[in-house]
Amino acid sequence: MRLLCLRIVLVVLGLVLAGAAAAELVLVTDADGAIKAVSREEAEQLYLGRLSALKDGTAVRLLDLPPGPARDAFYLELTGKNATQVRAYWSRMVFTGRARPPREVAGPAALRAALRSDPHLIGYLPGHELVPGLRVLLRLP
Amino acid sequence: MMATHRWPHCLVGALFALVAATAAADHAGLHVSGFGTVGAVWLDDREVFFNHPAAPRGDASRPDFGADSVLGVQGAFDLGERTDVIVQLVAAEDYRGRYAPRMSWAYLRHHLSPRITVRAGRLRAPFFMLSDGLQVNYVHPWVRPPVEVYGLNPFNDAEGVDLLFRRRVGTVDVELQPHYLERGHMRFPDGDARLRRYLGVKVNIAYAALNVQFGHGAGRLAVDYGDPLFEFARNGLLAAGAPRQAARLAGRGGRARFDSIGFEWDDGTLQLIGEYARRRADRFVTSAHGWHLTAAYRLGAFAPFATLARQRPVRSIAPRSLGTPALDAYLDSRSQAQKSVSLGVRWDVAPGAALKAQWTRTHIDRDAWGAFFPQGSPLTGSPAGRRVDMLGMSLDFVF
Repeated sequence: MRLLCLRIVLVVLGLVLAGAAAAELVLVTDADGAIKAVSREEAEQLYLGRLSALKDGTAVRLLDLPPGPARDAFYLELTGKNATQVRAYWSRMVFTGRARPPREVAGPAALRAALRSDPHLIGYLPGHELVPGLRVLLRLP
Repeated sequence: MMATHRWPHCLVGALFALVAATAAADHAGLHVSGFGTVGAVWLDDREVFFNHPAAPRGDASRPDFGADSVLGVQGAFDLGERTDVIVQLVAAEDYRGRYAPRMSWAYLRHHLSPRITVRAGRLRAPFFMLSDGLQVNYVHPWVRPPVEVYGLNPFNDAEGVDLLFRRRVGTVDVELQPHYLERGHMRFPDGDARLRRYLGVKVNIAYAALNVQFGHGAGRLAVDYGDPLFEFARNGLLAAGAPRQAARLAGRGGRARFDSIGFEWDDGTLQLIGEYARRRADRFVTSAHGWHLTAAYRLGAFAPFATLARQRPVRSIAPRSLGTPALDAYLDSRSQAQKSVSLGVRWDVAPGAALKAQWTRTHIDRDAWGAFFPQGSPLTGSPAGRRVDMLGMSLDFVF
């Protein structure tokens, strides 16, 4: 009986861990792109519109996934802000003329296509959407 | 005169065409975004109307759509990797009671470095913590920012230049915004006001869920009035042999200073906002200060909130001891002193859209008009000393 309990606990734990792994998000750019590395702090500053380029001067343009769980999880993990806060925050940044919001693409496939077209673009994807040809800049969480 | 009022209607059409072009625009170096509020206000007092010095409405008991409704469209045109031009058109009820779009922004923005930006042209005047997004009601909990604070400086935009320095010190984000405003202009039904050579600085400090802001500035002020109360008061002073006091009511060469300090705490669930602002002028306008304190609590898509607010006069334009009733009536009309309590709820109905309802009970000071205007003659139906209950409902959106 105890063994059975232990097995159930392990299976549940395994499922939870698998779920966590599936929820991993990656910040990516084109493998041949101009952006070689982005620290977590830089990523946060970029996606909050407080930085418009990397510290070495490399221009960075941002992509957003459409509103949904992946986008909400990305902002919550990176900036600590929930979806409502992020929308209000970015509205403020845009309508105060401080920054331009990330360009929204239709989904992961469109995001990958966009990255190939511009060496200065970065974007984020759920871990399982990662394909060869992309450079992983950051893994979240 | 009438003919010149027609052309803005063409602009309204252009505004909507611009909105329609949004989807296609992003690929041509043009980035379009917009905001708006459709708001209605009901008052329990038929003799006054709220918050905008436009022509009186026909019947005060009907919902007033003019006080809060606004539509803005903003375009950013790329001129290069680090430079763009920003233009913002805003249509809100103006001093004539019309929704003629006004170019509230038109400036060149250049990123000198990743953390330093310079902007020149017609800018939003950065007097308050929330002044940058003042008409973008979507970004805050209320139907409108508290008038006790935000009524202290009615200049929305001005021609000038500002700098944005952003710096991260440890885990604290600091933004420094020195600004020089060459001229700002606003009109009301019977007159106008001009702000000249305003030099100021705004500092924003963000740490985790906390945002703190300080602002200070000073400039020159010129005011022209032509309303009956003004003429009545000035003629009374001249007849009483007080030409120096009469000259304090309107003219050029006034000096004005403005200070504000505010904070915002937003941990995702609890939102606390407070701001204090002070306006000091050596003539033409009442020196006054105001504060508000707001608490909002997010429960899923709903965020109920409560606000307390107060504005008090510090110094009158002219001493009331002069004792002419006309002057006293005039001084009442130039003081916005009042206190209010508001209860409301924000409902985020969809990404980029919020429905709001806000009930406000206002006590107007006995020697002030508060944020209200008389429906009929200002000589007989003064808002002074009234208690007004008000319900505001609005739909805010951004795109």
